[in-house]
Parts: sequence; structure tokens; C-alpha cells
Amino acid sequence: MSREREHVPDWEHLLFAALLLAFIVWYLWTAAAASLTFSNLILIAPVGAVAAGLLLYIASVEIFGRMPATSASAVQADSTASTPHGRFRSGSLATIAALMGLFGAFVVTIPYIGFDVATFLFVGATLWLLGERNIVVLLSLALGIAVALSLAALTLLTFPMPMAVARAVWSSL
Amino acid sequence: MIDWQALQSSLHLLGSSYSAWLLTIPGIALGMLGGAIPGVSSALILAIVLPATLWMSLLSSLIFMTAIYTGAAFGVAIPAILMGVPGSPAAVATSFDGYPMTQRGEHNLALGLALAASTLGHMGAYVILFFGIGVISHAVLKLGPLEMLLLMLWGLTLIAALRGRYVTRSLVSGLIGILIATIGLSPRDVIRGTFDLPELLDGVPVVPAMIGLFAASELFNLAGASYLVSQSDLRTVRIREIARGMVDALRHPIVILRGLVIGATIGGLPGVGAAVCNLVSYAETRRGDKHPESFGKGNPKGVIAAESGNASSEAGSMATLLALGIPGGASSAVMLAALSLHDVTSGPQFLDTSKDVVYAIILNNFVQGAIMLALGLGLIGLMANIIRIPVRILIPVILVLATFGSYGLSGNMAGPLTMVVFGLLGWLMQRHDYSVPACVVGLILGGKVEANLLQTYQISGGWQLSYFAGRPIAMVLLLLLLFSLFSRPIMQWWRRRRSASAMAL
Amino acid sequence: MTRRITSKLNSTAEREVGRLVARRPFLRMLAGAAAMGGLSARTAAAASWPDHPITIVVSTNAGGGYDTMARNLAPALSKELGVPVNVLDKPGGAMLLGTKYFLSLPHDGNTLLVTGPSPYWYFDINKFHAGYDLKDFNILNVQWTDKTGVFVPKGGRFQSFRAILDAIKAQPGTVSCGVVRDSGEFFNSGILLKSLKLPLTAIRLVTYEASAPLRTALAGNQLDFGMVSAEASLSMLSLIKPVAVFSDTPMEVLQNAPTVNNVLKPDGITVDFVPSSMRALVTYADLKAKYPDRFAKLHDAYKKIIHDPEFIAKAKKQAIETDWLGEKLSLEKIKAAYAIFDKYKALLSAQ
Repeated sequence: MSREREHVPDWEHLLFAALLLAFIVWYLWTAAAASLTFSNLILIAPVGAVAAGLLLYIASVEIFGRMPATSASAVQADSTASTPHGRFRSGSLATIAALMGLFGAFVVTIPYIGFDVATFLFVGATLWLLGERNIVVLLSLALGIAVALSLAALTLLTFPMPMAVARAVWSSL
Repeated sequence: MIDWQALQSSLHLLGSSYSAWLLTIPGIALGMLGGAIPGVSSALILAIVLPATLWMSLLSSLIFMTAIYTGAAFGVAIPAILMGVPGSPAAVATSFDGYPMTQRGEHNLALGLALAASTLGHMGAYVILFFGIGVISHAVLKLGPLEMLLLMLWGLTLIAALRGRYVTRSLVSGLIGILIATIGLSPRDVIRGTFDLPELLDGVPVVPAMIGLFAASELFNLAGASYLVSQSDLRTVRIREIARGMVDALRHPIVILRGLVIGATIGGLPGVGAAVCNLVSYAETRRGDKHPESFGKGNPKGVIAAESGNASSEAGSMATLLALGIPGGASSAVMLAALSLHDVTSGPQFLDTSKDVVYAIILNNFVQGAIMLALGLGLIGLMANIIRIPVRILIPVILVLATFGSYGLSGNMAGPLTMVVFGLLGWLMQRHDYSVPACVVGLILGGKVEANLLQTYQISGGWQLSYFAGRPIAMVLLLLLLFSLFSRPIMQWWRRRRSASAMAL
Repeated sequence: MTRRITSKLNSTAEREVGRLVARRPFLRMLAGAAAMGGLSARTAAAASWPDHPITIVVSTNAGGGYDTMARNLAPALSKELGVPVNVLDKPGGAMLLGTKYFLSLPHDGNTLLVTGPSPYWYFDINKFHAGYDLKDFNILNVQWTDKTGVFVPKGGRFQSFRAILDAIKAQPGTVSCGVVRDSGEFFNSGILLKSLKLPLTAIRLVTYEASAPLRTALAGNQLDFGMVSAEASLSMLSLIKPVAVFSDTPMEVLQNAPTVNNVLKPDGITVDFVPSSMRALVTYADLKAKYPDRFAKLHDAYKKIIHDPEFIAKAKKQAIETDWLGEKLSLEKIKAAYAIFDKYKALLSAQ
């Protein structure tokens, strides 16, 4: 049996590793630009350097594959390309991406459309995305949660949460 | 050690203060419920109730607040176990083994273990506090930046212990976590990596970042699932099983004791809070165990160790708060404000002049433990029904709640936005096997490591050996650190040599 | 009435909401914290102002001197003005976030700020590009000026300021000194060394994030000496000893430790120094012009409280000072401190 396996680089992983590396380089660069002193760089320089070095190593392994291992445990522990990604995951990548996008949109739009409206829309949209098809359930849950949390925000929080209608409704009660 | 006169006076205080007792139960309940909402930490709840304490007596307000603190210490474990999303950084390690247990349908057991460990850790630590509050607080004073640095490094070695399949990737995770933790104002006022956003001057907010990292890896990945526990017959809440979990915890007294001691001692150090104690207790239990590889897959000892460590840190931080007037973290800072609301200047003299109040708080906390057992059982019974809620409803609700919580503490969108960014990061990390817990450890400890490293540099006049020579405690800590790091590999190497030489015969 | 939520930021949203409320004086508002603490949460509609709870924003966190001062003032102010007065802590970025938050709220007299124009705003403006300036504010009064005290651990290497100075000169680089970064003490330590014609490396300057960890370090004999705000350190006097104070006259609460310039007299040197913290009650610069009656009401209520012997006694119990400098003198003192900061600006970028 041939010792060398057919090695296909995982480009997604490489992209991610490159992203991390870019962050490290950018961060060290701006920090050094702000102040090139020992006290500023005492920790982040070595940490950044080691992390960058490790990432380069990881990237090279990803591209070129691993050298044939001499001990069995090393082969087992460091197997690369043929293993599936990540952990237990149910739901398609598309669904997950959509969910993340919805959540991002929710948070970003709170200052613009108010926490109350954003919550209502987000909960409704997410329920639909994740499979809830009973419109009554969907709308009542979305409304209920939006109302409950808006109420909590108005009465409990010390900082005013941006709201579209809730504040006016509440104060006119 | 024990001031008998103060003790007597404290019993009298407790006996005559009905309001203090009346407030204990709602306090614990509030803490548990609040803690169970990811993103709503005990600090937020305490900040909300702070104005109300103006109406209470000093003793009542402190008891109310410690009750909330106690309840929250356990409450944060509930989502950690049921959904893998810790309620706050204090339950990060609890999720490592708690969530896998849920996935196996053993959620009742896990919750019971957590409740028992939390209660015992809490009460045990207060026993230590009762006898040794003076000792603990003076010991805290003896730790300089070098000692703190070594302690933090000890915590960081967890990164090595928490690896996933790839050591290198986990190391990178941890190191990047450390780098992210340094964003903001450096200890010498250099602005690093803030994109000119004033909200980032104090660094990336840790709680939302952590919620994002964990929410992503767990909640997003559940997008296609119907329920948290896939097998419907296991999807029940059985009080009997919860109770069995509680009794099971008693079978591991050493684990509980270890967590207890860790929390009571280092929990009082400023900056070392429940989060660090939670992780350190977990790591140490894992390291000393015969089968460390079983941790992270649903080993009950992991849950016990984590919860015991986190619950006992409250006593530790109360020690430094009451005896020295030094807040250990956000929650104790709010308690400090409560003290000043009642015209009390905290500091060493508080312990001297108001020892009876201090004892009263300690004694009440013993009882809080017992109350928490009963209340906890009932509450878990209620909250565990989360597993019967379809995931498609849970996900948006939890995400919105977490957004609410992370906004509430900072008052601006920095919290929720951090959650989103770290959510994306966490998911990508999970996908490519970069350990998320390692990143969280780096995030929590990174800032403190740098601050102490820098101070050690400054205080030793630029690494003058004379400074290091005169610090015996540091030497002891260094030896402990090295022992923790290398004892296992050295033992393994030794065993291999012995078996090799045995085989050679 | 159009109801635009916001065009840009969170703060703009709040401004919009604030304007909505201002146009409806008869609205009953449950503003956040008003629901819980303070006095009655419902105030009947009134034709005159104030008709709505007042918020004191504190630009630092709970439990510190500023927060204590605000919480001490709130009940008295509430009684004078007849509405609930709440305290809101908004820490972050050396007082920057709290100050910016304050500026983003409606300039209508319903919000006040407790902050440290000196030294913090100096750092915010000059180092952190805060984007605001002294002229955006009206400083009603600097109520509590803290002085820098020089402390040593009880049982530490040095027990007098003279001993410390001699050791610094004799063995430069061996004596450790703790200060809080971003503080008046940070400047005072540099000014002291410069006046003594010593390099900054003559002492091992150890910087701390806040005064509490610094005092802990002193109490535990980790440092040879420390320079930290005097009054806030009173609670630790059983563990640390004051050996000098940066002040014109000795302070009774600091066991009459000599002034720094007194100790330096034999050397023929006099040092400049800045106060440690100047805690002030602040409002908006344009409030006087926009709402002169509201401004007058706030100003007079506050002035009355500060001169009230009962209030003074209560504040004293918590070691809070109750100075009345008034607008003009307060501004002068702050500008004088800024002048000294400017003179030694180079220290800001020192290692």
C-alpha cells in the first residue's frame, strides 16, 4: 500500500487561515505604528509572531500534505484532508448562512427601525427560515416576544433602547 | 480566628432582620432566572436592582445582592448544559461536558450534578471564608504582579489542555484570543486596533464576544435540528433523575473540594472572577484524572469541577470586597456602590468595625446554599422543559435575549455588534477545527497577562534579578506551574522508559 | 408630527425621542431606572420645569469617588427640584464614553454630568481625540478636588519622603513608584523628577489601571511608594502611611503629612503640581442660552444644597468634599491645571 495519500488542499480552510494571518499582521502593524516601544509590544509581538508562524505551518501542511509519519499515533492524530469539517452540524450551509445573515441584519438595523420592530421581523423571519409554517403561531410568537422584550427594555434597562413605536405606546398608556 | 462576640452579635442581627430573610429567596430566584439568559450577567441584574437597595438596610441589601450573585452562579449553567451556550463566561467550562451529556439525553443528570456542585462549592467556600477571611485577604495583598502573572499563565496553560484534534490550531486560537484581548487602550495608553471607535477603547466586550463565539458554534449548527435532544424518548424532564444527579455529585468529593479551594482562594483576586475559576478548576481536574481524554465528551466530573469552581469564587470576591474594599469585578463593584449608598466606606476598617455584619452575610450565605437546592430543583424542573421546545423557536428567542442582555450592560450597540462579529468568527473556527474554548480562554486572560507582564517589567526595573530573588511565593507558583505543565508528559516518558527496559529483559 | 426614528446612530435616535418628549410636556415618562429607585416614579404634569426625572450621568463606574459623589447629591437635588433624580453610570475610555454619551442627549436640562474635567478630559482631548472641548460644557462647580498624596506601605523600606528622595538620587533606578495611568499623579511624578533634574528612569514607574489596585499593591508592600489621590485612600490608612502631599497646605485627614514643597525647601526647589482629580457637576454650554430659567433653577438648587450644613455633614461621613467654586473659578482652576499639563506635554508620550 502506498504511504502517500492523494492530498487535496482544503481551500476554504486556507482562506480562513489567510484571514487570521492577515488580522495578525494588520494588528501588529498598526500597534507598532502607534508606538514602537518595548512596553507596547512586549506581549503582542511574541504572541503574534508565534501565531503567525503556526498559521504558516498549518497552511503549508494544508497545501503540501503531511510528510509520511513515523509513528502510528501521529498519523491518527494529525489526519487532514479526508476528514469532514467541523462538528455535528444539521441543516444545510445555506440555512446556516441565511440564519447568520438574518441575525446580522437584525442587530445592525436596531438603531434604524427600533428594537421592537427589528425583533418582530427577525423572530418572524427566522421562524419561517427554520421551518415554522403555521402563520398564526409565527406571527403571535414574533409579536409576543417583541412586545415582552420591548417592555422589559423600557422598564428595566437604564439606557434607552432605540424603539420605533413601543416607547410612545407605553407612555401614552 | 473566630470573633465570638461578633458572631453572637451577627446571630442577633440575623434574627431581628426579617427583611433580610424575606429578600433571600427572591434574590436567589432572580439570580437564577437572570443568569439563565445568555448575556444577562449577574452584573446587569445587580445594576438594575442597585437603586432599589436604597430602601433597604445595609444588611438586607448586601444579602439581597449576594443572593442574586449566588443564584446567578448556578443559573448560568442551565443554558450551558441544555444548549451549549453558557449564560456568562462563568459557565464556559460547564458547557464542555454538560452539553454533550444533554445530547445523549442525560440533561437531567447534568443539571442535578451542576446544582449540587454549585451549592456545595458555594457553601464550602463560605465556610473557608468564615474561618479565614482575614487570612485570605492578607494573602491577596501579598501577591504582586509577578505572582499574578504566574497565576494567569497557569490559567493559560489550559489552552494546551483544551485542544481539539489539532494542537497547532488550538494554539493559534488561544494566541489570537490573547491578541484580541489586547485591543483598545494598552496599559500605557497606546490605542491599538480600535478602528477609531471610542467604544473599543476599553477593549472588545468579553461577554458578548463569548456569547457570539459559543452561540455560533452551537445555535447556528442546530439550524436543521428539530430538538436539542434528538431522541424523543429521552426528551423528558425527570425530577428523579435530577435528584440522582445531585446525589451522584457527592461521589466525587475531591473534585468538589478542589474547585472549592480554587474559587475561595484565587476568586478573590481582582480581575480573577468566576470565569477564570470555572476554567482552572476544570483544567486541573482533567489534568489530574486517569482518563483526561474522556473530558469534553460528557464526563460528569467536568460539570462538577466547573460548577464547584465557579460557585466558590463568590466567597473569594466577597472576602476582598469586605476585608479590603477592593472589587474583584463588575458584580462586586456594584456591591461596593451599594455600600456607599448606605454611607459605608469600605476598606480594611470595615472588617474591624462591622464584623458582625460580615458574619451575618456569611451565615446567611450558608442558608442560601440550602435554599438554592430546593429552589434550584424546582426551577430546573421548570427550565429543563426548554428541551421540549422546538429548536426553530429557541434559536431566535435566545438570540434576541442575548442581544438584549449585551445591550443592557454597555448601553450601546457595541455589545450586540460584537456578538454578531464573533458569531461569524466562532462558526468559521468551529468549521475548521480551531478550538473555540481556547480562544475564549485567551480572550478572558489576555488583558490581565499583559498588564501583569508589563508591571513585572516595570517593578523589577527591567528584569533585574534582584527583584525575582526576593519573592518566595513566586518561586512556589512557578514550580506549581511547571509541575502542572510537565508532570503528565514526564510521567508518561518515565513509564515508557520503564516498560521499554522491562521489555528489554 | 413626523416620527423619524433615526438617520444615523443610536445617539441620534435618543435625540429624536428626546425631542418628541420635549414637545409634549404633559407626557408621563417612565425612564428606565426611574421605575425602581428614587422617589415616586410618577410626577403629575406641571406647567413649569422640571416635570420629568433628571438623570445624572457618571462617566466612570459604580463604587468610585465620582459615583459616590453623584449618589450623595441625587436625593438632595431631588428634594429641591421635586422630581426623581437618577444616577446612570456610563464608564469607558477614561471618561470619554460617558462624556460623549452626555453630549448626545437632548440639551434641555434634564441631564447632568459628573465627571473629571481634570485630568481626564485633558487626556481625552489631547490623546484620545475625543472630539469635544471645554467650551462644549458649562461646569457648574468643581465640588471635590482631590490632592495627590505620597504613600508608603507600613513597614516598607522608606518611611519618609526625604528618605525616598535621597534614595532616588543615590541609587537611581532602584526605587519603585506606583501611579495610575491617565492621572494627575502620573504627571506629578514626571514633574517632580524633572524639577530634581533627574531622568525619568530614576524611578521604576509602575502604572496601574485604577487607584484601587494601586492601593492594594501599596498595602501589600509590593511598591516602595506610590502617588495616588489622597482622599480616596483614607480607607486604607491602617495599611499605608502618608508621607507627603502635593498641596499648598498639609491636610488634616492625611495625618498632617508635610507638603512636598516643604520637604524640598532645603534643596531650594519648588515644584509645579496638578490636583489629582477635580470632580465636577457639569451641564451643556448652550443650556444657559436656550433655557435660561432651567439653568438658573439647576444652578441655584445645587448651590443651595452645597451650602446646606446638613448636606455637608452627610457628605463628610463619606469623605466627600463640598467646595463651592462656582462657574468662573471652576473654569479658571481647570484651565490652570491644563496649562501645567501643556507645559509638560512631553510626558504624555514618554515610555
